[in-house]
Amino acid sequence: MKLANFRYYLSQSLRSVVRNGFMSVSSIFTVMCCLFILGLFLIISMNVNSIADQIRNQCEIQAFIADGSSQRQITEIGERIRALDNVREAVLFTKKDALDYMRKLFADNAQALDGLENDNPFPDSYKITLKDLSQAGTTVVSVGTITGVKNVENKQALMDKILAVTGKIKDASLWLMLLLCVVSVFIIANTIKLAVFSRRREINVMKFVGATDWFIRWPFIIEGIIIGVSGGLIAFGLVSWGYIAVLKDVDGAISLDMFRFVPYPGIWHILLAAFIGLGAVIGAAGSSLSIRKHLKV
Amino acid sequence: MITFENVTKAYDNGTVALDNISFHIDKGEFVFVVGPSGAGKSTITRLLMHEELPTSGSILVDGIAVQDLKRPEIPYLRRSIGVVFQDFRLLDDRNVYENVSFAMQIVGASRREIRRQVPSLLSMVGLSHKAKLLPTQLSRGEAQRVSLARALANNPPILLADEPTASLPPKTAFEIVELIGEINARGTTVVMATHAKDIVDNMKKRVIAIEDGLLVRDEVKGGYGFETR
Repeated sequence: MKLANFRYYLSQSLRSVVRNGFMSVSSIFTVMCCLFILGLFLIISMNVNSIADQIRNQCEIQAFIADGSSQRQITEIGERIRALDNVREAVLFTKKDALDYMRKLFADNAQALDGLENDNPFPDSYKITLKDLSQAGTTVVSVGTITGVKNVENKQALMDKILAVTGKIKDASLWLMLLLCVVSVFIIANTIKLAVFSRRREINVMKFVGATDWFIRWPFIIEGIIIGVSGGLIAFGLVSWGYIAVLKDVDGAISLDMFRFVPYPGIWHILLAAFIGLGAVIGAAGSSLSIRKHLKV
Repeated sequence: MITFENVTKAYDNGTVALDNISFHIDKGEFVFVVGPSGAGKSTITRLLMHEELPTSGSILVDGIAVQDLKRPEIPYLRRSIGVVFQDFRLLDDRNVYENVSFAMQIVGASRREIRRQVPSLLSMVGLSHKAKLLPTQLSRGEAQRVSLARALANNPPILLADEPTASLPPKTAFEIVELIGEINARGTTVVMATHAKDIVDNMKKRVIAIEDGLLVRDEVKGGYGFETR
């Protein structure tokens, strides 16, 4: 593509966007809405992915120690647990730690736990991180056979459920995003159809003066891309603003370490690339669709 | 420059617009194509521009078989033929200068080429002082001059004029044909389809007469030859 031609295409596209001002603005707005919703789902997907990874990394089993065990017995149990093949780490979580954790969890209602210091009902336990999650079942049995271990809690089943749910959320998001892309493509196709219609006289002149098919098509494709990318950029701004606000609100509210949101600085460039890329692809696809159907060159 | 060899054009509805027509136009010639309405004059224009394909026969433009052109080659044929229409077909949202430069932008001419060529074309058609006016601010004669300048923007070897004077008052029509005559004198081959008896009789140029799709007359200094209403 010659530079002179590109300048011409761009000026024609911008002229057309301005000339069909109302249509252009309304389709930028509609594409923005679609991409905004799509962006929300993209962020949800990213967070679901991150949470799933966090779950996978944090998957641990907890071995509760029978009441009345002496400090020495507790240490021995720890050593025997650590001696097992599949154990990466075993950290003692004392009765006191458990009570403190519960206090933190209850926060405002922590006074309900007052008085338990002398009669702490929570058992001592070991939090065990595994080398190979798929072998969790066998390790649970082995830990269970260690004398002094009352019972072993395996969070694997819960984890599996959470992972299954996150998987479904991801699938649903993907389909919804696809649907929104298709909707955006048709919106742009419709706008370009009107642009083709309003410029039919010019197209006719171009044809008999000797314009190539692509010379006639490019301005419409660029117009579609301009609409798509404009909608994408506005949606990017809104999604970023919304996400930063949500992160600020949620940060203090959710204290569970497991569900840490993906920080904005880590994803803004991915979001920006996705919005510009999707906007451009949707715009080009929409205008190509329209040109194929309505532009007889 | 232009050769029609046994060209027949029949439309799907059964109308035979041209029936086995043959003629040859040399480089630099000025030819009137005359005939009553519906005789087939416009079909000749459409065939030359590859807007339609002949049902049979062959059309050569500057040695190129028009009917055999592939789709991507058609624009290059059209660049070798400047066209002027009865209704001017100017773009109303662009001024005179832009209407002419538009034709050059389409073929990828540089800004420098455009800046050099357009003023000289506007000067040739006598509209240098109206370069910034919109087509709606021009008289019909002036609009046709702009259309002529645009047709010549890319220096085509052929100028095809389809009823260029039909919507003009007689004096203006003569001025336009004189201008076309000057263009022809500079070496451009001119093919002009027309109803204008006075002009054809006055110019004493070659006349190809078409009636009911048949070539009924091909005279070197001919006259219009048909009854006019």
